[in-house]
Amino acid sequence: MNDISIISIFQGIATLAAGDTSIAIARIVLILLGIALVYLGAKNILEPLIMIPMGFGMATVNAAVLFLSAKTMGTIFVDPMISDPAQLMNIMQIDFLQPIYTFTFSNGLIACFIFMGIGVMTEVGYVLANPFSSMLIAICAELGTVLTFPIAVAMGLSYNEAASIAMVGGADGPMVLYTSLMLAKDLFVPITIVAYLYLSLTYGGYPYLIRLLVPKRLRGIQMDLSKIPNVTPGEKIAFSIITCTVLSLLFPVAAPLFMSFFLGVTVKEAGLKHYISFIEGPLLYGSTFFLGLLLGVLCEANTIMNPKILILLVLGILSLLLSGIGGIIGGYLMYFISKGRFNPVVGIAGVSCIPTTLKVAQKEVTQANQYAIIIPYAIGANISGVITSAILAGIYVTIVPVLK
Amino acid sequence: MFAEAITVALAVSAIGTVIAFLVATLIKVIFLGIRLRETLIPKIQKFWNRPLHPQPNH
Repeated sequence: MNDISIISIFQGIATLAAGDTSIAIARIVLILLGIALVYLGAKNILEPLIMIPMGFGMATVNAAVLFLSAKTMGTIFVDPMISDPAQLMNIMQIDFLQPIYTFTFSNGLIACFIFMGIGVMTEVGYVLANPFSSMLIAICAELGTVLTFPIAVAMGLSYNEAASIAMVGGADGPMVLYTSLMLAKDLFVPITIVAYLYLSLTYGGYPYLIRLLVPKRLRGIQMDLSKIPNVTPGEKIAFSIITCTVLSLLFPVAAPLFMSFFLGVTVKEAGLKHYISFIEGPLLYGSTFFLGLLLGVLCEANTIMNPKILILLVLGILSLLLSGIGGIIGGYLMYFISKGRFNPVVGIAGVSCIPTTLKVAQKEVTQANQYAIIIPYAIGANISGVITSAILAGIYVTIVPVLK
Repeated sequence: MFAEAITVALAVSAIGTVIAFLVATLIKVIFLGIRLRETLIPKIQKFWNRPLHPQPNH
């Protein structure tokens, strides 16, 4: 009876004392960060749809560490490192978020649901307006994806790891997921967390980048919307199915995303009201909610305290920053090509973080000039960004394994 | 290794740019193809349904 310590009853605190000091400090920091994310989300400073569930998950999972056996500590939320089928079946009966993680997150299904929802809300006619200018902006917005690769190699990462973290610059969660699964499976969890964490932060960070690089006079440029062709629903459906098939033929890596997006577009154009209300309501918001929650619970100190995490954090933010700068350079290129009729802020939408960068771009333009509308052009750049991310992911996955 | 990484990055960006513009051309061609079809079909139908022997006006 004398061996019983009162602190053992409160296992969250007992594990703090029993574990490694650095892990204990990381847990406390992550709990505080989780609380901060909920606050910033509730205040609309960061994207609240992701940040509130994510912050809740992060704070709770780091508080709720317990003794799973005499020597091991863990949580009953999710175990992302398990791949053995027998162990997975066992853990799915214990960890309450494990089924959602295994069946929707690690295979990218949740991202496809989100893309389907975005497809239902997208006016695809705008993409057809000018594919060349959209693609020019999108390829410039891959600056981070290209430049981060040699920087990561210089910082000591292998080619495979460098390519995986460089893909964060493509600002496309599923693409990062795929590249790290193919090239750096041991860093899959930290890279995915870093990617999604930073993608959520673009909502708070990119407005400052826009204000820094584009003067107010240029942010308020009104674009000519009359040049956008009037496209019938039939034409949009035909365009969607043909483009989806051809792009999938060219880039199988991004085929699930292309299919989800263009299926959403077709559902909208076909006027399938019940599907539309299901996809843009429960499916989209349910997926966003669980994506945020899973990201939060994946930020458990033991999972993300990889020795390389600091390097990944630095490279991730660098990659997104460079891509944002590249996108705005693309916007400026279009501004000069069009002799001052193109709003350079559209460039930020080339970073394919759909629909965050689109919303950020329009918000900044509206603040400079309430009559200026850039959404049609920004949607084109946004979708082209997805295509260029898929192209670069495909190239990295093909080229890098050959290099030794 | 760093010099090789820079070469790889340059190669990736060059290949990526070429493929991206090919895809943009493809999107344009698909759209123009659909538009052309919509324009041509009424003309073909008109041609196909025209009377073989025009009736004289009475």
